[in-house]
Parts: sequence; structure tokens; C-alpha cells
Amino acid sequence: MSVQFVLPNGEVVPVPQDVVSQGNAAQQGFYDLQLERLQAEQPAVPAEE
Amino acid sequence: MTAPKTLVQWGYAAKIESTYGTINAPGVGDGVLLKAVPQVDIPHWLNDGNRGVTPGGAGRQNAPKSGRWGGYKAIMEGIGFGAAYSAGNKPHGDSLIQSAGFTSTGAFTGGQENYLYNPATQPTALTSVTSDVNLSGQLYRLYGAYSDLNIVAAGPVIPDWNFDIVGIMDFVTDAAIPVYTSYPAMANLPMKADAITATIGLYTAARVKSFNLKINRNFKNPRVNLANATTFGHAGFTPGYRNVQLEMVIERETETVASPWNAASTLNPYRLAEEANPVLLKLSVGSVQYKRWHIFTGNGLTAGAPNPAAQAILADVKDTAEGPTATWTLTFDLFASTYGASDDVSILFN
Repeated sequence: MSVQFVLPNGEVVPVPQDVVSQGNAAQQGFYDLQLERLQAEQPAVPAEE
Repeated sequence: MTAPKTLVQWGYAAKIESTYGTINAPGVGDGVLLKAVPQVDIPHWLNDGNRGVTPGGAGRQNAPKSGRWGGYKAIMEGIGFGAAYSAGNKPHGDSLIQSAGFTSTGAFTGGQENYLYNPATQPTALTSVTSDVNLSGQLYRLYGAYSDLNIVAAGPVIPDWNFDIVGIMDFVTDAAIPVYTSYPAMANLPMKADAITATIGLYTAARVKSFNLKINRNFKNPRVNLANATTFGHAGFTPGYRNVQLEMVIERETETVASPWNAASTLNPYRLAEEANPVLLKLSVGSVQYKRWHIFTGNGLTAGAPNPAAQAILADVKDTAEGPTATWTLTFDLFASTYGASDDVSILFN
């Protein structure tokens, strides 16, 4: 993997080579998906009573 | 009478390949702005078709050639994005830098956005490109292409990023120059080397005349496969070792009188070279955020800025001169921090 991105939580995510080979717009799309995944993995905040 | 083909207009593009040696045709979004007309060195063949001489002493009729390959020399400027870096907004020429044996790491903490380039660990991270030169109404396409990089500042000018590129070569065809959309804005001027900051170990007072970063990549090793190659017997190239060196010409200085032979305002290159004390190196070109770039030893970052490590040895010192001004020409060999690391040099855009 020749390209990697550092996510806001410090996780380093390698970008698949087929995504890299599609250019910058595809890499931005991959990064946005990683951010969505990160948000989905965050523990839910309990609702206040 | 038709108009002649001319060398007046040209274009260049490079696109990263998904699979080595499989053409990934550059589009209008893959153009790389060069400083000058690329020098095209094509075509070459692994087998030039020579069949020796006849019993009568004449030359024999040549056979068809095999193993077509070619090369270019291209000069780029180090142009930052000019605004905050993101996954899609990169330093200009990112694909070409990667083709020189670098990986690219983007980090986007607000206000500290940066792209860090480090030597690639072989073979999984090596990046090849399909590379197009449009010149004289013709398309010269290389694929499975790798490059070597020299970054040279010969004075207070915009430094040259010199790429020496080789690859398998496609047939030369007539083609119009694409209208590239990826060139940087005209107003996005690159940084000049007229106010660089240089650090050699503890020594920060260097009056630098010029510098030259050489990756010295041994990459022109053809793979001469007779099967599972291209239909014409060339399977591309295999990069070997690199030997990263940074050459700097500085004005001579008061000599440091004690180990480690470098101090805040003095330097003793003769003793530093003899005793091979490791020193950190850092050169920073420009100060404008999102345009500036740095060369440094190690790969450490602190808040998106270089945090160099002592990973250079002064291998050679020469007494030189610029007119009546006495100078030293210093050649540093850069080395990795551990046996398995690829952190001998970093190039950072921030």
C-alpha cells in the first residue's frame, strides 16, 4: 500500500491500491467512508433522564 | 503542404497503476505541471535485432526487435496545494513523487494538515505509474514506470525536482494534448529557496549556497522475462537499493573545538566527518502554510511539523569557493533508524 491516511483518532488506514489508482477523488471518497465508520463505531451516548 | 509537427506545446501526466505494468491511462485529472519540455529518450530495445555477420564478411539482415522500453527526464517544481490538504487535495505531482519510491501519508488535523513522503518498503509499497508525454503532436507512453528523484536548489531560486523515469514503452501514436484540469492555479506560486532554514545537528547558523538531495535509486534493472511479460519480451524494471545523500554548500565557519563538532554557531566538518558523529538534518523551503516543504532525516512529526532525528553522517567534506568566498561542500549519507525501517529521509508538505 503506497498511500495511507491518518484518521482523527490516530488510526492509520492504508488505502487499497485499486482506490489509489483511481485518483484523488476516489481517495477522498474512501477517506469519507472511513470517517463514517469511525462515527458508527463510537459508543452511543446514553440519553439523559 | 501540411503544417510541421512542432516542439512548442507539450503536456505531461502520470497515473498510479493498480497492478504493476498494466496500463492505467492518465486522464485530464492526472496532468502534472512541469517546468520545462520533458526530455524524451525513446525507444530502446532489449534485443536490437542484430544477427552478426555473413560468411562473406557483410552484415546480416537484422531480425525484428524485442523488449521495447523508454525514458524521460522531467523537471517539476515543489508546489503545495495552496490550501488545507485533504484526502483529495494533495501536493502537486504526488503520483510522480510516489513513483520515485516514496509512500504518501496524509494527516488532516485542523491547522496541521500535511503530506509526508517516506521511502517505500519493498516490494509491497512500490508504486509504478503509467506516464504520458505529449510532445510534437505525439503521445509517448511508458507503463510499469519508476523514477529517481533529485531536488536541487542552485541558488535563491525555485528548486528543481528532477525526475529520471524509465518504463516499458507503448507504441508512439499521434495524439492531441489533453486539456489537463489538475494543473495548479497560475497564482499558486511555489516557494523559493531564498530564505531557507537549515539545521545540521546543533548548528543552525549555516549560510547555505546550494543544496542537492539525491535519492540515488538503483532502479534501471530490466526484467527480461520470456513468458508472462509483455507480448514483446519486457516485464518492466526492478528497483534495487537507494543511497540517499544530501549535499550542501555552505560558507566556511568558525571551527567547533570540541565533540560533537557542531554547535549553535560553529561547525567543524573535518572532525565531524572523521568521527562520523550522527547528526540530524533539516532543510525548510518557504514559510507559507500549505506551500512550504521540508527535507529532513527520520520521519518524526510534531504537530504536523518536522521533528528530525540524528540519522546522517558527514561522509565527505571538500574545501571549495564561490569567487573569493571560502565554502565547504558537505556530503551527508542518510541512514535508517533500525534495520527494518524506511525512515532515512522524509519530504514533508505542510
